Amino acid sequence: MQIRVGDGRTIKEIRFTGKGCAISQASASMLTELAKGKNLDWVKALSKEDIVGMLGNPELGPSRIKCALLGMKVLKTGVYGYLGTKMTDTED
Amino acid sequence: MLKTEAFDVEAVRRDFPILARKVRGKRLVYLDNAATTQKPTQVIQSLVDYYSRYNSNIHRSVHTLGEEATEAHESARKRVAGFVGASPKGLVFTRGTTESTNLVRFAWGERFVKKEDTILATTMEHHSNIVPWQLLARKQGAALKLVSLKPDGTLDMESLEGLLRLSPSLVAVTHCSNVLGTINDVQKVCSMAKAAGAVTVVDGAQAVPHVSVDVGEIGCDFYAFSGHKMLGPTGIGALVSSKETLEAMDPFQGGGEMIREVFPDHATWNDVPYKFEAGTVNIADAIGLGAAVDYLERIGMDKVRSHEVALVAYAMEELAKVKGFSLYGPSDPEARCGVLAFNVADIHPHDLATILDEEGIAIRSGHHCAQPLMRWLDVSAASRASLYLYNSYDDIDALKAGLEKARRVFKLCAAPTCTGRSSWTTTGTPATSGSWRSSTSLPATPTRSAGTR
Ligand SMILES: Cc1ncc(COP(=O)(O)O)c(C=O)c1O
Repeated sequence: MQIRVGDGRTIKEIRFTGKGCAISQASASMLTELAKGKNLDWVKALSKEDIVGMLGNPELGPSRIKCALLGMKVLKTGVYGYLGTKMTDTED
Repeated sequence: MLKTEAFDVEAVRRDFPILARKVRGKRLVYLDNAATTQKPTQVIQSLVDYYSRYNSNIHRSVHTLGEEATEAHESARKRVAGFVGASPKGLVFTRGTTESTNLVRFAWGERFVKKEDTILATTMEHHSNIVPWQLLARKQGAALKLVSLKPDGTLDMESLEGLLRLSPSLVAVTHCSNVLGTINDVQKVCSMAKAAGAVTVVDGAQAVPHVSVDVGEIGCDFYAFSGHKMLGPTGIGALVSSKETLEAMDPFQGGGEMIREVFPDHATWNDVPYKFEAGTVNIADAIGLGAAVDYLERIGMDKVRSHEVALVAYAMEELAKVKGFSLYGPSDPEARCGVLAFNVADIHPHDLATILDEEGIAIRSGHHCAQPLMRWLDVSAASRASLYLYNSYDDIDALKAGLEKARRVFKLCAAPTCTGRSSWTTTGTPATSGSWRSSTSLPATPTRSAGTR
């Protein structure tokens, strides 16, 4: 996942490359579309529910939910890294 | 292809209550036996009997229940040992294969592996027969090296021969691969290793359930296996060795039952195998494993094996008709156990497993706890169907139909030359500026996720 940040806080451009199952790739792809133009606080506030909602609330078991959340996790890790702050999210 | 049956599979299926269950409204087709097997009524009942009739601690209580429980536990030890040609004194009950290899790591390895020693394992090992040796090597200052494989998924004996020239202190090898299905000639590996002065550890997790095993014939120093992969309960397995080897080792865990005498500042050890069974052991599940062994012996391991070979041969022939199907491991059904790891075109194994689950079919997808092997295969994941004595030709037909359905779901074309879509490598929002593009390292052409080896 690669982003270009404008004025220190807005996602100007975003793209990803990935290899994985349909759920992980679809989720990451949709997330890049949603995230474009948003600011970094929006990324920090993203939740599991947001992602599941974005995907149209599919029925995902405890194993496949990880596939759906992978893109968000990568994006958040990157944003926190960029901001130089520690990620405080806990996994559930 | 001729469909032969070594025994009455329908009668066997009736012994397994779970096989009557529906999954998503469909008949359960359970093809995840390499992960864990289902349990027959006889095993389930042995646990119910123990807990409802003679539950008690063993070796220490002199009352009737204590004596019955001790008797049943030690009788299970005899039968399980007999099942693999071992003596009961040489059989340590453990939590399973993983605890068995770790027992060797601590109790044998930390005592006998020296700084700058070499430890050998193979590229096809399950993590439970690699990671303990990595940890041991790190602790002792030794080096771990892996024997390589030949393109057909068998051990490269020349690589083994070469590495044996390093005079390794320990050689760890799996009897059957849980991914490739390869049955290794462990007798030969052990005799070569022994000639080079090494102690041998054989991972029998996928062998004991499926082929007749005689540890004496194999000639290994340690043999490890798990009860839950051979119709027994979870939480029980064994490490088999000789009385002499076990006596020369340090204890594993310290506590009750593993001691002979305890003084304020030191202790002496109980006889083997009890020296390695500290604390209250898993009494019920050892008894359950005894019942599982009785069940397998009643059917006969030769019949279990011939049933699986016939099913594997049928599956290899039928599944090969699915376009884009690629199977890993040896091409001769006789050279493999009932494990079929594969990919179908570029359908990701997790997606395939989800689609099959909708049909009531349980397979495993992922890296199968064998990441060095997945790297060697050059795939990030694979699907795996694994068979056991209660599987039928119908189960294979169901799997094949499920794979065809997955191809339809992913809209893969039906032309004979078409093996699948180009790839799952996907890029998000296209780049807009030239400099942005050049600053990234995106592949010009998508990489394929499935290898063909
Ligand atoms: C070849 C092999 N070795 C070791 C293991 C580990 O067995 P357990 O998880 O019962 O300790 C497995 C099972 O996952 C296996 O297939």
